[in-house]
Amino acid sequence: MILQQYANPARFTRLSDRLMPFIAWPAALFLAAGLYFALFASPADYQQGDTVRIMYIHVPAAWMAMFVYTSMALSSAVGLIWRHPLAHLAAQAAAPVGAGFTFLCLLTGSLWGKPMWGTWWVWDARLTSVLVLFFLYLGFIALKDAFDDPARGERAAAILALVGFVNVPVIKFSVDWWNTLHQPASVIKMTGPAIHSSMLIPLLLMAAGFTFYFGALLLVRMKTLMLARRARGMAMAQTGGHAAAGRPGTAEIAP
Amino acid sequence: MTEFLASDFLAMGGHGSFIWPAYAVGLIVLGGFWIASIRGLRAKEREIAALEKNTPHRGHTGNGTSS
Repeated sequence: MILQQYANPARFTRLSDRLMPFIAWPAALFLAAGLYFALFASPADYQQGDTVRIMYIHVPAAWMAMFVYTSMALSSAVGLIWRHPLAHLAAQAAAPVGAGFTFLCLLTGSLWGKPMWGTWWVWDARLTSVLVLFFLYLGFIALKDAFDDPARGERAAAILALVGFVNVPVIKFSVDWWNTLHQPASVIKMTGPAIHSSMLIPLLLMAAGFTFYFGALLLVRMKTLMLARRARGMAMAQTGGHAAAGRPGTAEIAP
Repeated sequence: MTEFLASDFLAMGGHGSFIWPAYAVGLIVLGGFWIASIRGLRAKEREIAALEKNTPHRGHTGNGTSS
């Protein structure tokens, strides 16, 4: 099984080290090109003026907030069902980053709402459901550390991630299901994008940059969590205690 | 073609005070996560290296983390 091969932390680390340049460099290039188009080479909106430029941060951040949560829920499911050792680790590495994207989405939305809607915040369906997403991320992070036994915290957090996934389609369709102040979808819709290419190009460049950035960051953070696990096991072995039995990445170190 | 003026660019049609903070927060969040995560990785690598020095037995060098 291919999947099982990468369950080996050493093999995963080698693979991720080799992949890193092919993820980190595109991230930097897409973000640089995206910023150039977003700030210099794209027009102001005929209704919203230059505030439309906030979109090039706000919308990719919103997409990532939902994408990261979806990935987190998926890997939590893999962790719960197949007990793949890297699955929970991936979800834990991703959660703070997802919370960061959601925070960025909320804050830039507020900065866009003030000049265009005349208010920083409104309790409408779209904004409220994204705020709920932010709290789900925080809940996940808090729950995994709330137990003495890390394996129990891991499972409890994974279940929260799965249950909370119901919020993701609610966010996506909130602008169709309810009357909201937030504008409806203009890129991902059945009839194709309702946005001119001069604005679509910087938006997609930034979205690609954000996605590659997340990929690179995820690999770094997964590697860190694996090393943390190993360090815990090694420290326990040295002090004569039992290395956490059955924890991946520690068993091989135990004498 | 109109001349490029830095002051016009910074003013962003009068909305500069909303647009620039949005980009600044973007930079802080993305840059902050990157720097913090790389630092976290380096700290763990140092921790492992220190632990390995104290370990008398060998035989698990194929972990791909220290080369």
